[in-house]
Amino acid sequence: MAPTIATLISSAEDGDRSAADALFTALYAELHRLAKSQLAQNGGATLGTTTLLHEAYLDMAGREAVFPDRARFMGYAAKVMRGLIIDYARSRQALKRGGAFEITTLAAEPGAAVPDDQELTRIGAAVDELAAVDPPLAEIVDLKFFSGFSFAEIGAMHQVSERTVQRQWAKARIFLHRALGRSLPA
Amino acid sequence: MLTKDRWQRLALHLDRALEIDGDERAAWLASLENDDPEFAAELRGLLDEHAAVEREQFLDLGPERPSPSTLAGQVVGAYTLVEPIGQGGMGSVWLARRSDGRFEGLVAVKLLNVSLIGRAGEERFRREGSILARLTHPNIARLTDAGVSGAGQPYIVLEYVDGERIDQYCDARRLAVQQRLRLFLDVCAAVARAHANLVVHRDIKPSNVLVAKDGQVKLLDFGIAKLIEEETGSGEASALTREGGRAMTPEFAAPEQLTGGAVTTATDVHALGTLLYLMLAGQHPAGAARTSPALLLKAIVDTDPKRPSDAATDSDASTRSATREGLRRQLRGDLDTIAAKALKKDPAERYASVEALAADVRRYLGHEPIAARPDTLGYRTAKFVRRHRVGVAAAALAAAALVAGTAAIVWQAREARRQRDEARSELARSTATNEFLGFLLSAAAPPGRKFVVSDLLEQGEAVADKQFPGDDPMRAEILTSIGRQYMGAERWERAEPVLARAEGIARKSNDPGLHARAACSLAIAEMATGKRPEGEARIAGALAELPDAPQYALARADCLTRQSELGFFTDEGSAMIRNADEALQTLDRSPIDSQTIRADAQGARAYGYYLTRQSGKADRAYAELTRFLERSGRDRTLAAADVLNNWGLVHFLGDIRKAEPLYRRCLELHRSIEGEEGAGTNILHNYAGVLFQLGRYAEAEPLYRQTILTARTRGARGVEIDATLGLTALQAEIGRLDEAAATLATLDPYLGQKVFSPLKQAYLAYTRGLLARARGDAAERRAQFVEAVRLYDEVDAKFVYSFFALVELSQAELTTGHAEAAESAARRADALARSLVEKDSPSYLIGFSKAALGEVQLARGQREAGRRNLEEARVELERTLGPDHPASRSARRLVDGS
Repeated sequence: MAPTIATLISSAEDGDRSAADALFTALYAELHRLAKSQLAQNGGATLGTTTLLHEAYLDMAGREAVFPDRARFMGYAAKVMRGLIIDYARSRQALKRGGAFEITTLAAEPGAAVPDDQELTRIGAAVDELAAVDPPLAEIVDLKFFSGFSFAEIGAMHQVSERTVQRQWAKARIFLHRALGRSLPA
Repeated sequence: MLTKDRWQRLALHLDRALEIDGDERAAWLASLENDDPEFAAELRGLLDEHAAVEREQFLDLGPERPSPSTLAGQVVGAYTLVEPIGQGGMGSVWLARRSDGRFEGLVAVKLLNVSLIGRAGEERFRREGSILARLTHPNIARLTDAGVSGAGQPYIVLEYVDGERIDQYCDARRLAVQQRLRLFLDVCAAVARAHANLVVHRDIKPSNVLVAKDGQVKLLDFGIAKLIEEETGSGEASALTREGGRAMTPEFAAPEQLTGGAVTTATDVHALGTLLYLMLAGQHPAGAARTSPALLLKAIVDTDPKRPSDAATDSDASTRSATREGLRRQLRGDLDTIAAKALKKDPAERYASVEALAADVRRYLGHEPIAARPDTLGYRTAKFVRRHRVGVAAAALAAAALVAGTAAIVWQAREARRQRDEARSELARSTATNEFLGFLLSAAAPPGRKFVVSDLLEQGEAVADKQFPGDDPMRAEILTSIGRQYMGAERWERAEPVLARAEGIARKSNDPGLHARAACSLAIAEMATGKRPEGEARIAGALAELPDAPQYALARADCLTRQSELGFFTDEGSAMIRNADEALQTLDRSPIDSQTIRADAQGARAYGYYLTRQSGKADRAYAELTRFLERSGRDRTLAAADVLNNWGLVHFLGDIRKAEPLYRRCLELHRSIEGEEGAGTNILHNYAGVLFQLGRYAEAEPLYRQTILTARTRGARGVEIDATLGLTALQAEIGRLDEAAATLATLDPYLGQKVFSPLKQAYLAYTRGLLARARGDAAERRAQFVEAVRLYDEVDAKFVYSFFALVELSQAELTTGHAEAAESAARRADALARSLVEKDSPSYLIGFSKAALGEVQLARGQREAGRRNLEEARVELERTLGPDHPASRSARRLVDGS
């Protein structure tokens, strides 16, 4: 009997390293598959990442008789989403142009710069550093930056106030900003 | 790189530092510097990073979002985008100007998320857009164009309004109530005009109602919700709600928008009512319920809002240039009534038109009597009762009697609470087809929150029919889930017809798995409503029809589990074990696992062991099931609580001290999940019984009272009667005779009624006997116990209930000099105890019967046998009830005295 996502999640939460890897792989494959099929349906249009994650949840939850709650699932899926985005950024860097598809996030204030592929790769590394010292903050980055959830949505997910999420986001940004500064050549 | 500890410490200080700024922060940093200069310097460094983060808008934009610079200057239709002015779930909004320079004025261009519009919908999108474009009114921001650009980008062109949200506009200018009402009338005028053109807004909310610089009210996005909704072709805007609910904002939705009812002009009347409420009381009608989707949903669909006059606070008053009392006085009466009428749950009870609503507001402003009538108290009360009336009380499926009362298994609840978890994922499957149903049912069951689903089920039924008229498998699936939920709420009378419908639809679906699931669930409902032969035959038939192929293994395991659960009704323990074993083996062979079915089957098997008096095996099986629930992360669920209750039953007649912590945990779980009022009456009653039996009277008494109150509220009359009798016995036991008599008298109104079954009459006689014993009335005592035993024998001579009556009868006969009758009663009690308890396992029942027998034997001069039995009774009672228990003490006295 192949392990279900639900069992993988609970094993991963118990600290089972190989289960965590298998979970990542399974989610990665799923998100990739969904993104591709949606891409086909939408005639090459770009996709909202939150849409993608919700789709993944509905799809996978529908296949398993027992499934973890949405918040826990989103935590994992958002981390995978980060991996997916970074991987595409890398592959685009490698190919110079023409990634298989593009993933967009919605909701942001106008005027800010969009990170390019090179910077994305560096941001990915910095988030890994953050995950090592403060996993909850890294999850906020995955949900907010990589998956495009709003503060309100994340707050509802974690059952904390929007303000708390904003403060966590502020701290995460400080950390990442500093980590990026260090990783740049002097 | 920072170490974990270092970062945690810094992060803690950052929390503080980010809360304050300017001088306060400088002073705080300075004091920190005194203590730990190095740390303070590092913190300063991070705060500099923060400034840089803000300045650079670091990470404000997610990866791969088309940057504004690429869109600025782009031509969409006849317009050139200038700069972005907003962003929402639908897409972005841009300030734009006409490319051909024909108009001077600026417009707002909404670029819709591509996924919202299917290709086939383009033509229709344009056509609808041109209809909306004809809608002109000074208070409506005009839609001038709608189309799809050459690049496939759908867009809407709207009159550009430079203004402020109406609620913020009012508060910022501290407008008084009258001024607010005049602005509100402008909003009404705009909506009325649209209605006259057969356009419903569907999404009226403060952010769609702006007040321009010149004070002109402008309604935005008229008809757009509908425009997009119909394009998706699925009744509700699936992608939209998924992106955050912009086409229909749940917070401002009318009940019919949430329940899948028809959206009409009455929907806009409700939204106007919400807006009016917000403008007057400063609060959303749902009040605090907005903190969770489930509560919000319930509030909108089911709860009458507070009156605006009661909701207004001090700060609301100050922004309305009034005192709180003054504001409340102003709102009380007519304005309360107007808001209430606009916010009626039933569209037919609202104002018949926006015009009628506006007319009442105008009458209020003109100090004329308004047309709407306030709800009378009688009307409100009638509605309250209607809404809170509960379903039929649970049928006790298997019960064990104690001195203190009955223990009822709660398997139904266990079944259904798990089904609730399962239903979440099942319904999530349906949300893949229709996001709306997901919102209705799965959002109502957020993890770890209070969950009141039963009142949503009826809506779910209606929605299932409406949303999936052509999709029979989906409908059968949903109706089955709903039926199982009803079973969980112990509403068998509702579960059965729903499941019967599901079964009927599923039978025609050519999906044997789906049919088996529906049929086997229906069978359980039939068993519960007294149709045993039908239920048993239905499960057997469904299993026989199910092909023996791997893809049906899950359905087979499910059905076998239900078949095993038939034993909850028939008490056939060995069949339970056999079927549950087969279910578990089938599950092991299935390509898909289901933890819920696994847990069900394990629970049924454990109960089978209990029924067949294998308490050791039952104990281990429940322990294993509990560990299984822990491993699968479901140990803090109601399902887990129900397992604990049933586990407690295993020890109820035996080593009862082991039952106590199980019930305590069970009750704690219930309270932590459902709140103080949430625990089921059976569980409260069982726990009260255990405590009473253990001699912990002070703890048992309040639990009995709580059981009675809860049972009364829920209409669970059977439990109410049992618990009242239990409380009477307890008060008699501790010598509070007047109170005991008064407690017993509360049952007088029920005495002649059908609910007073022979079993309850027997229990009543037994309790009266205890009361007579406490009073020292030997003749009455004997008469009542004789009657109790007679009645119990009529029901079922081998029933556990009669055990305590026999023990009491034995002593009563002895006291009145009938030694022979006393011995016969004691021997019957002893035989009964042995048949009820696994051989050689500890049980206080054995202790009681041996004590009774020993006493009789002593009285009849059989000293040797009497002493031996009393000594054995003492050992048994001490090890099961503890040495300090009154029964243990009296056994010791008898041994010493013999």
